[in-house]
Amino acid sequence: MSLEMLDNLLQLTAVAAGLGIALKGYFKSRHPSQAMLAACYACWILALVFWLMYLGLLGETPAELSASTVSWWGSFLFLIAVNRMQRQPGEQGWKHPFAWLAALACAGFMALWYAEGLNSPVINAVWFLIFAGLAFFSARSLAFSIRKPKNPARARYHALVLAVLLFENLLLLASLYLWPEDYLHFNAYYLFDLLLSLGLLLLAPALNRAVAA
Amino acid sequence: MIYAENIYIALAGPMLFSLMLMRGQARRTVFFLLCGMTASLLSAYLNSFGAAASDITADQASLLISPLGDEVLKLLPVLFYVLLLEPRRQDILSSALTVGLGFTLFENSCYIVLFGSEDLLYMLLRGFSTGAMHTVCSAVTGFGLTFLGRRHWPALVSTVGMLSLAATYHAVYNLLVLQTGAARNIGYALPFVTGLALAAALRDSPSGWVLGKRGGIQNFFQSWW
Repeated sequence: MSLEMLDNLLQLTAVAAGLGIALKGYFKSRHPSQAMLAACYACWILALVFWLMYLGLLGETPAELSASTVSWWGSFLFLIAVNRMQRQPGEQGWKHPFAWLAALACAGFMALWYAEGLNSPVINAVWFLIFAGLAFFSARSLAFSIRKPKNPARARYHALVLAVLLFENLLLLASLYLWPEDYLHFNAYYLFDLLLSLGLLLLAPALNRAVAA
Repeated sequence: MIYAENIYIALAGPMLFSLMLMRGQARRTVFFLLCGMTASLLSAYLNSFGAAASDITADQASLLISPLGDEVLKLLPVLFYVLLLEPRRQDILSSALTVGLGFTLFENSCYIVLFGSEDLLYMLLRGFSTGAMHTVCSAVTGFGLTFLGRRHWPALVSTVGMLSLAATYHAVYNLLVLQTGAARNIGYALPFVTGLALAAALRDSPSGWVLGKRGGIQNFFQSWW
Protein backbone atom coordinates (compact mmCIF):
# COMPACT_ATOMS: atom_id res chain seq x y z
CA MET A 1 0.00 0.00 0.00
CA SER A 2 1.41 3.38 -0.99
CA LEU A 3 2.13 6.10 1.56
CA GLU A 4 -0.47 8.35 -0.06
CA MET A 5 -3.18 5.71 0.23
CA LEU A 6 -2.23 4.97 3.85
CA ASP A 7 -2.37 8.67 4.69
CA ASN A 8 -5.80 9.02 3.09
CA LEU A 9 -7.14 5.90 4.82
CA LEU A 10 -5.88 7.23 8.14
CA GLN A 11 -7.69 10.50 7.50
CA LEU A 12 -10.82 8.60 6.52
CA THR A 13 -10.69 6.69 9.82
CA ALA A 14 -10.17 9.90 11.80
CA VAL A 15 -13.08 11.65 10.07
CA ALA A 16 -15.35 8.60 10.47
CA ALA A 17 -14.51 8.55 14.18
CA GLY A 18 -15.28 12.28 14.32
CA LEU A 19 -18.64 11.61 12.66
CA GLY A 20 -19.43 8.98 15.28
CA ILE A 21 -18.52 11.35 18.13
CA ALA A 22 -20.55 14.21 16.59
CA LEU A 23 -23.62 11.99 16.14
CA LYS A 24 -23.29 10.65 19.68
CA GLY A 25 -23.14 14.23 20.94
CA TYR A 26 -26.19 15.14 18.86
CA PHE A 27 -28.22 12.21 20.21
CA LYS A 28 -27.33 13.32 23.72
CA SER A 29 -27.96 17.07 23.50
CA ARG A 30 -30.04 17.46 20.29
CA HIS A 31 -28.16 20.67 19.50
CA PRO A 32 -28.36 21.41 15.73
CA SER A 33 -24.74 22.58 15.54
CA GLN A 34 -23.64 18.99 16.22
CA ALA A 35 -25.85 17.80 13.36
CA MET A 36 -24.14 20.39 11.13
CA LEU A 37 -20.72 19.15 12.22
CA ALA A 38 -21.83 15.59 11.44
CA ALA A 39 -22.85 16.83 7.96
CA CYS A 40 -19.38 18.42 7.63
CA TYR A 41 -17.79 15.06 8.44
CA ALA A 42 -20.16 13.27 6.03
CA CYS A 43 -19.10 15.66 3.25
CA TRP A 44 -15.43 15.11 4.03
CA ILE A 45 -15.89 11.31 4.05
CA LEU A 46 -17.74 11.31 0.72
CA ALA A 47 -15.11 13.60 -0.83
CA LEU A 48 -12.32 11.34 0.33
CA VAL A 49 -14.17 8.15 -0.69
CA PHE A 50 -14.81 9.56 -4.17
CA TRP A 51 -11.18 10.65 -4.48
CA LEU A 52 -9.81 7.28 -3.33
CA MET A 53 -12.22 5.27 -5.47
CA TYR A 54 -11.49 7.38 -8.52
CA LEU A 55 -7.76 6.89 -7.95
CA GLY A 56 -8.11 3.19 -7.18
CA LEU A 57 -10.61 2.23 -9.89
CA LEU A 58 -9.61 4.54 -12.74
CA GLY A 59 -5.91 4.94 -11.90
CA GLU A 60 -5.90 8.75 -12.02
CA THR A 61 -6.87 11.66 -9.80
CA PRO A 62 -10.19 13.42 -10.51
CA ALA A 63 -10.30 16.70 -12.44
CA GLU A 64 -9.71 19.91 -10.49
CA LEU A 65 -13.44 20.64 -10.33
CA SER A 66 -14.79 17.26 -9.30
CA ALA A 67 -17.37 15.98 -6.83
CA SER A 68 -14.56 15.78 -4.25
CA THR A 69 -13.73 19.48 -4.57
CA VAL A 70 -17.39 20.45 -4.26
CA SER A 71 -17.79 18.20 -1.24
CA TRP A 72 -14.74 19.68 0.49
CA TRP A 73 -16.25 23.12 -0.12
CA GLY A 74 -19.42 21.78 1.49
CA SER A 75 -17.45 20.60 4.53
CA PHE A 76 -16.03 24.06 5.16
CA LEU A 77 -19.43 25.66 4.53
CA PHE A 78 -20.89 23.43 7.24
CA LEU A 79 -18.13 24.62 9.59
CA ILE A 80 -19.29 28.19 8.88
CA ALA A 81 -22.86 27.10 9.70
CA VAL A 82 -21.65 25.54 12.97
CA ASN A 83 -19.91 28.80 13.81
CA ARG A 84 -23.07 30.83 13.23
CA MET A 85 -25.11 28.45 15.39
CA GLN A 86 -22.52 28.71 18.15
CA ARG A 87 -22.41 32.50 18.24
CA GLN A 88 -23.06 34.13 21.58
CA PRO A 89 -25.26 37.15 22.35
CA GLY A 90 -23.45 40.32 21.36
CA GLU A 91 -21.02 38.55 19.04
CA GLN A 92 -22.86 39.57 15.88
CA GLY A 93 -21.40 42.85 14.68
CA TRP A 94 -18.55 42.73 17.22
CA LYS A 95 -15.33 44.00 15.63
CA HIS A 96 -11.87 42.63 16.39
CA PRO A 97 -8.64 43.09 14.38
CA PHE A 98 -7.74 39.39 14.82
CA ALA A 99 -10.72 38.45 12.60
CA TRP A 100 -9.49 40.69 9.76
CA LEU A 101 -5.95 39.40 10.25
CA ALA A 102 -7.13 35.79 9.81
CA ALA A 103 -8.97 36.70 6.60
CA LEU A 104 -5.90 38.58 5.39
CA ALA A 105 -3.73 35.50 6.01
CA CYS A 106 -6.06 33.55 3.71
CA ALA A 107 -5.56 36.22 1.05
CA GLY A 108 -1.79 35.68 1.44
CA PHE A 109 -2.19 31.95 0.91
CA MET A 110 -4.33 32.60 -2.15
CA ALA A 111 -1.64 34.87 -3.61
CA LEU A 112 0.82 31.96 -3.27
CA TRP A 113 -1.58 29.58 -5.09
CA TYR A 114 -1.89 32.08 -7.93
CA ALA A 115 1.89 32.53 -8.03
CA GLU A 116 2.31 28.77 -8.52
CA GLY A 117 -0.59 28.53 -10.98
CA LEU A 118 -2.55 26.07 -8.83
CA ASN A 119 -6.02 25.27 -10.22
CA SER A 120 -8.09 27.70 -12.26
CA PRO A 121 -8.53 31.27 -10.97
CA VAL A 122 -12.25 30.71 -10.39
CA ILE A 123 -11.70 27.61 -8.25
CA ASN A 124 -8.99 29.42 -6.28
CA ALA A 125 -11.36 32.34 -5.73
CA VAL A 126 -14.08 30.02 -4.35
CA TRP A 127 -11.55 28.36 -2.03
CA PHE A 128 -10.41 31.79 -0.87
CA LEU A 129 -13.93 33.04 -0.18
CA ILE A 130 -14.79 29.96 1.89
CA PHE A 131 -11.48 29.96 3.76
CA ALA A 132 -11.55 33.71 4.40
CA GLY A 133 -15.17 33.59 5.61
CA LEU A 134 -14.50 30.69 7.97
CA ALA A 135 -11.24 32.24 9.22
CA PHE A 136 -12.94 35.60 9.84
CA PHE A 137 -15.85 34.15 11.81
CA SER A 138 -13.76 31.63 13.74
CA ALA A 139 -11.14 34.23 14.70
CA ARG A 140 -13.86 36.64 15.83
CA SER A 141 -15.59 33.92 17.86
CA LEU A 142 -12.25 32.91 19.40
CA ALA A 143 -11.49 36.50 20.41
CA PHE A 144 -15.01 36.89 21.77
CA SER A 145 -14.77 33.64 23.77
CA ILE A 146 -11.50 34.52 25.52
CA ARG A 147 -12.57 37.98 26.72
CA LYS A 148 -14.36 38.27 30.06
CA PRO A 149 -16.47 36.30 30.89
CA LYS A 150 -14.24 33.63 29.44
CA ASN A 151 -15.62 30.59 27.70
CA PRO A 152 -12.66 28.19 27.31
CA ALA A 153 -14.66 25.32 25.77
CA ARG A 154 -15.91 27.51 22.91
CA ALA A 155 -12.49 29.11 22.54
CA ARG A 156 -10.88 25.66 22.14
CA TYR A 157 -13.37 24.70 19.43
CA HIS A 158 -12.79 27.90 17.43
CA ALA A 159 -9.01 27.59 17.86
CA LEU A 160 -9.22 24.05 16.49
CA VAL A 161 -11.15 25.25 13.42
CA LEU A 162 -8.42 27.83 12.79
CA ALA A 163 -5.77 25.12 13.23
CA VAL A 164 -7.57 22.90 10.67
CA LEU A 165 -7.59 25.82 8.22
CA LEU A 166 -3.91 26.48 8.83
CA PHE A 167 -2.87 22.83 8.33
CA GLU A 168 -4.98 22.62 5.17
CA ASN A 169 -3.17 25.63 3.71
CA LEU A 170 0.25 24.50 4.91
CA LEU A 171 -0.05 21.06 3.36
CA LEU A 172 -1.02 22.71 0.09
CA LEU A 173 2.00 24.99 0.26
CA ALA A 174 4.27 22.06 1.14
CA SER A 175 3.11 20.16 -1.94
CA LEU A 176 3.51 23.27 -4.10
CA TYR A 177 6.83 24.73 -2.92
CA LEU A 178 8.79 22.50 -0.54
CA TRP A 179 8.36 19.00 -1.98
CA PRO A 180 6.53 19.60 -5.28
CA GLU A 181 4.30 16.65 -6.13
CA ASP A 182 6.42 14.26 -4.06
CA TYR A 183 3.95 11.77 -2.62
CA LEU A 184 6.34 8.82 -2.39
CA HIS A 185 8.36 9.90 0.67
CA PHE A 186 7.29 11.08 4.09
CA ASN A 187 7.70 14.86 4.14
CA ALA A 188 6.05 18.00 5.52
CA TYR A 189 3.04 17.40 3.27
CA TYR A 190 2.22 14.20 5.13
CA LEU A 191 3.05 15.78 8.47
CA PHE A 192 0.55 18.58 7.88
CA ASP A 193 -2.00 16.11 6.54
CA LEU A 194 -1.68 14.01 9.70
CA LEU A 195 -2.08 17.14 11.80
CA LEU A 196 -5.13 18.03 9.72
CA SER A 197 -6.62 14.58 10.38
CA LEU A 198 -5.96 14.99 14.09
CA GLY A 199 -7.53 18.47 14.09
CA LEU A 200 -10.61 17.17 12.29
CA LEU A 201 -10.95 14.31 14.76
CA LEU A 202 -10.71 16.68 17.74
CA LEU A 203 -13.37 19.05 16.39
CA ALA A 204 -16.24 16.78 17.47
CA PRO A 205 -15.29 16.37 21.16
CA ALA A 206 -14.40 20.08 21.30
CA LEU A 207 -17.84 21.04 19.97
CA ASN A 208 -19.55 18.61 22.37
CA ARG A 209 -17.81 20.37 25.25
CA ALA A 210 -18.64 23.81 23.81
CA VAL A 211 -22.32 22.85 23.56
CA ALA A 212 -22.32 21.49 27.10
CA ALA A 213 -20.61 24.63 28.49
CA MET B 1 -30.79 7.62 -30.18
CA ILE B 2 -34.14 8.57 -28.72
CA TYR B 3 -36.25 11.70 -29.00
CA ALA B 4 -36.44 12.70 -25.35
CA GLU B 5 -38.44 15.84 -26.18
CA ASN B 6 -41.20 13.71 -27.70
CA ILE B 7 -41.36 11.50 -24.61
CA TYR B 8 -41.47 14.65 -22.50
CA ILE B 9 -44.40 16.05 -24.48
CA ALA B 10 -46.31 12.78 -24.19
CA LEU B 11 -45.82 12.65 -20.42
CA ALA B 12 -46.13 16.35 -19.66
CA GLY B 13 -49.25 16.98 -21.77
CA PRO B 14 -51.78 15.37 -19.42
CA MET B 15 -50.02 16.90 -16.43
CA LEU B 16 -50.25 20.41 -17.90
CA PHE B 17 -53.91 19.87 -18.65
CA SER B 18 -54.63 18.56 -15.14
CA LEU B 19 -52.86 21.57 -13.62
CA MET B 20 -55.66 23.77 -14.95
CA LEU B 21 -58.30 21.65 -13.23
CA MET B 22 -56.61 20.80 -9.95
CA ARG B 23 -56.35 22.88 -6.80
CA GLY B 24 -54.37 22.79 -3.56
CA GLN B 25 -52.00 19.98 -2.61
CA ALA B 26 -52.73 17.85 -5.69
CA ARG B 27 -51.93 20.75 -8.01
CA ARG B 28 -48.65 21.41 -6.23
CA THR B 29 -47.68 17.75 -6.44
CA VAL B 30 -48.33 17.59 -10.19
CA PHE B 31 -46.52 20.91 -10.70
CA PHE B 32 -43.38 19.65 -8.96
CA LEU B 33 -43.55 16.33 -10.82
CA LEU B 34 -43.52 18.37 -14.01
CA CYS B 35 -40.61 20.46 -12.72
CA GLY B 36 -38.67 17.26 -11.98
CA MET B 37 -39.30 15.95 -15.49
CA THR B 38 -38.23 19.28 -16.99
CA ALA B 39 -35.09 19.21 -14.85
CA SER B 40 -34.33 15.73 -16.17
CA LEU B 41 -34.69 16.87 -19.78
CA LEU B 42 -32.50 19.93 -19.17
CA SER B 43 -29.97 17.76 -17.39
CA ALA B 44 -29.68 15.53 -20.47
CA TYR B 45 -28.95 18.63 -22.58
CA LEU B 46 -26.47 19.95 -20.02
CA ASN B 47 -24.58 16.65 -19.81
CA SER B 48 -24.37 16.29 -23.59
CA PHE B 49 -23.23 19.89 -23.99
CA GLY B 50 -20.73 19.61 -21.10
CA ALA B 51 -19.25 16.39 -22.48
CA ALA B 52 -18.87 17.89 -25.97
CA ALA B 53 -17.47 21.20 -24.70
CA SER B 54 -14.95 19.52 -22.36
CA ASP B 55 -14.08 16.81 -24.90
CA ILE B 56 -14.79 13.98 -22.47
CA THR B 57 -16.67 10.69 -22.83
CA ALA B 58 -20.23 10.12 -21.60
CA ASP B 59 -18.89 7.98 -18.73
CA GLN B 60 -16.52 10.75 -17.61
CA ALA B 61 -19.37 13.26 -17.89
CA SER B 62 -21.49 11.05 -15.62
CA LEU B 63 -18.77 11.36 -12.97
CA LEU B 64 -17.73 14.98 -13.39
CA ILE B 65 -20.69 16.95 -14.80
CA SER B 66 -23.93 15.05 -14.25
CA PRO B 67 -23.90 14.74 -10.41
CA LEU B 68 -23.65 18.46 -9.77
CA GLY B 69 -25.75 19.46 -12.79
CA ASP B 70 -28.58 17.07 -11.87
CA GLU B 71 -28.68 18.18 -8.25
CA VAL B 72 -28.60 21.90 -9.09
CA LEU B 73 -31.41 21.50 -11.65
CA LYS B 74 -33.50 19.53 -9.14
CA LEU B 75 -32.86 22.14 -6.48
CA LEU B 76 -33.82 25.23 -8.53
CA PRO B 77 -37.64 24.79 -8.67
CA VAL B 78 -37.85 24.15 -4.93
CA LEU B 79 -35.45 27.03 -4.24
CA PHE B 80 -37.73 29.45 -6.12
CA TYR B 81 -40.73 27.99 -4.30
CA VAL B 82 -39.06 28.56 -0.93
CA LEU B 83 -37.81 32.06 -1.68
CA LEU B 84 -40.99 33.33 -3.36
CA LEU B 85 -43.81 31.65 -1.45
CA GLU B 86 -42.26 30.91 1.96
CA PRO B 87 -44.04 27.59 2.40
CA ARG B 88 -44.24 25.49 5.56
CA ARG B 89 -41.12 23.44 6.23
CA GLN B 90 -42.90 20.10 5.85
CA ASP B 91 -44.06 21.21 2.38
CA ILE B 92 -40.49 22.04 1.31
CA LEU B 93 -39.24 18.52 1.95
CA SER B 94 -42.21 16.88 0.20
CA SER B 95 -41.85 19.27 -2.78
CA ALA B 96 -38.15 18.41 -3.13
CA LEU B 97 -38.99 14.71 -3.01
CA THR B 98 -41.67 15.19 -5.68
CA VAL B 99 -39.17 16.95 -7.96
CA GLY B 100 -36.80 13.99 -7.47
CA LEU B 101 -39.65 11.63 -8.29
CA GLY B 102 -40.48 13.50 -11.52
CA PHE B 103 -36.80 13.45 -12.47
CA THR B 104 -36.59 9.68 -11.98
CA LEU B 105 -39.89 9.01 -13.79
CA PHE B 106 -38.74 10.85 -16.90
CA GLU B 107 -35.25 9.35 -16.82
CA ASN B 108 -36.65 5.82 -16.42
CA SER B 109 -39.14 6.42 -19.24
CA CYS B 110 -36.27 7.38 -21.55
CA TYR B 111 -34.23 4.34 -20.52
CA ILE B 112 -37.22 2.05 -21.12
CA VAL B 113 -37.63 3.48 -24.63
CA LEU B 114 -33.89 3.16 -25.23
CA PHE B 115 -33.27 -0.36 -23.88
CA GLY B 116 -36.73 -1.95 -23.81
CA SER B 117 -38.58 -3.36 -20.82
CA GLU B 118 -37.89 -7.08 -21.27
CA ASP B 119 -35.10 -7.38 -18.71
CA LEU B 120 -36.77 -7.54 -15.29
CA LEU B 121 -33.46 -7.30 -13.42
CA TYR B 122 -32.57 -4.10 -15.25
CA MET B 123 -36.00 -2.66 -14.49
CA LEU B 124 -35.58 -3.56 -10.81
CA LEU B 125 -32.21 -1.83 -10.76
CA ARG B 126 -33.60 1.27 -12.48
CA GLY B 127 -36.47 1.41 -10.03
CA PHE B 128 -34.90 0.51 -6.73
CA SER B 129 -31.33 1.65 -7.28
CA THR B 130 -31.12 4.68 -9.58
CA GLY B 131 -34.62 5.76 -8.60
CA ALA B 132 -33.81 5.43 -4.92
CA MET B 133 -30.55 7.35 -5.47
CA HIS B 134 -32.41 10.34 -6.95
CA THR B 135 -34.91 10.21 -4.10
CA VAL B 136 -32.14 10.15 -1.48
CA CYS B 137 -30.37 13.08 -3.16
CA SER B 138 -33.63 15.07 -3.35
CA ALA B 139 -34.32 14.34 0.31
CA VAL B 140 -30.88 15.65 1.26
CA THR B 141 -31.15 18.86 -0.78
CA GLY B 142 -34.77 19.34 0.34
CA PHE B 143 -33.70 18.96 3.93
CA GLY B 144 -31.05 21.62 3.29
CA LEU B 145 -33.67 23.95 1.78
CA THR B 146 -35.84 23.73 4.86
CA PHE B 147 -33.14 25.78 6.61
CA LEU B 148 -33.94 28.70 4.28
CA GLY B 149 -37.22 29.36 6.06
CA ARG B 150 -35.88 32.39 7.89
CA ARG B 151 -33.73 33.71 5.02
CA HIS B 152 -30.65 34.01 7.18
CA TRP B 153 -27.57 33.74 5.05
CA PRO B 154 -26.04 30.95 7.17
CA ALA B 155 -29.06 28.93 6.10
CA LEU B 156 -28.00 29.44 2.50
CA VAL B 157 -24.55 28.18 3.44
CA SER B 158 -26.08 24.99 4.88
CA THR B 159 -28.21 24.56 1.76
CA VAL B 160 -25.16 24.75 -0.49
CA GLY B 161 -23.43 22.30 1.86
CA MET B 162 -26.33 19.86 1.56
CA LEU B 163 -26.23 20.28 -2.23
CA SER B 164 -22.56 19.34 -2.28
CA LEU B 165 -23.30 16.32 -0.07
CA ALA B 166 -26.02 15.13 -2.48
CA ALA B 167 -23.84 15.75 -5.56
CA THR B 168 -20.93 13.75 -4.14
CA TYR B 169 -23.21 10.92 -3.08
CA HIS B 170 -24.55 10.89 -6.66
CA ALA B 171 -20.99 10.89 -8.05
CA VAL B 172 -19.94 8.00 -5.79
CA TYR B 173 -22.98 6.01 -6.97
CA ASN B 174 -22.20 6.73 -10.63
CA LEU B 175 -18.55 5.76 -10.13
CA LEU B 176 -19.49 2.44 -8.52
CA VAL B 177 -22.11 1.41 -11.09
CA LEU B 178 -19.70 2.15 -13.95
CA GLN B 179 -17.44 -0.63 -12.63
CA THR B 180 -17.87 -4.39 -12.91
CA GLY B 181 -18.23 -7.09 -10.26
CA ALA B 182 -18.49 -6.37 -6.56
CA ALA B 183 -18.04 -2.59 -6.90
CA ARG B 184 -21.07 -2.38 -9.19
CA ASN B 185 -23.19 -4.54 -6.84
CA ILE B 186 -22.23 -2.32 -3.89
CA GLY B 187 -23.21 0.69 -6.00
CA TYR B 188 -26.61 -0.77 -6.80
CA ALA B 189 -27.27 -1.62 -3.15
CA LEU B 190 -26.05 1.74 -1.80
CA PRO B 191 -29.14 3.93 -2.54
CA PHE B 192 -31.58 1.31 -1.29
CA VAL B 193 -29.75 0.94 2.01
CA THR B 194 -29.27 4.71 2.37
CA GLY B 195 -32.91 5.33 1.46
CA LEU B 196 -34.12 2.95 4.16
CA ALA B 197 -31.80 4.54 6.73
CA LEU B 198 -32.95 8.04 5.73
CA ALA B 199 -36.60 7.02 5.91
CA ALA B 200 -36.07 5.72 9.43
CA ALA B 201 -34.18 8.88 10.39
CA LEU B 202 -36.74 11.33 9.03
CA ARG B 203 -39.80 9.46 10.19
CA ASP B 204 -41.93 11.77 12.27
CA SER B 205 -42.91 9.14 14.80
CA PRO B 206 -41.79 7.81 18.20
CA SER B 207 -39.18 5.68 16.44
CA GLY B 208 -37.71 8.58 14.41
CA TRP B 209 -34.33 8.08 15.99
CA VAL B 210 -32.31 10.94 14.52
CA LEU B 211 -34.61 13.92 14.75
CA GLY B 212 -36.04 13.30 18.17
CA LYS B 213 -38.60 10.99 19.69
CA ARG B 214 -41.39 13.53 19.97
CA GLY B 215 -42.12 16.05 17.26
CA GLY B 216 -39.43 14.70 14.93
CA ILE B 217 -38.43 17.21 12.30
CA GLN B 218 -40.34 20.08 13.91
CA ASN B 219 -38.35 19.69 17.12
CA PHE B 220 -35.13 19.94 15.14
CA PHE B 221 -36.10 23.31 13.67
CA GLN B 222 -37.58 24.68 16.86
CA SER B 223 -34.37 23.90 18.69
CA TRP B 224 -32.42 25.89 16.12
CA TRP B 225 -34.52 28.98 15.51
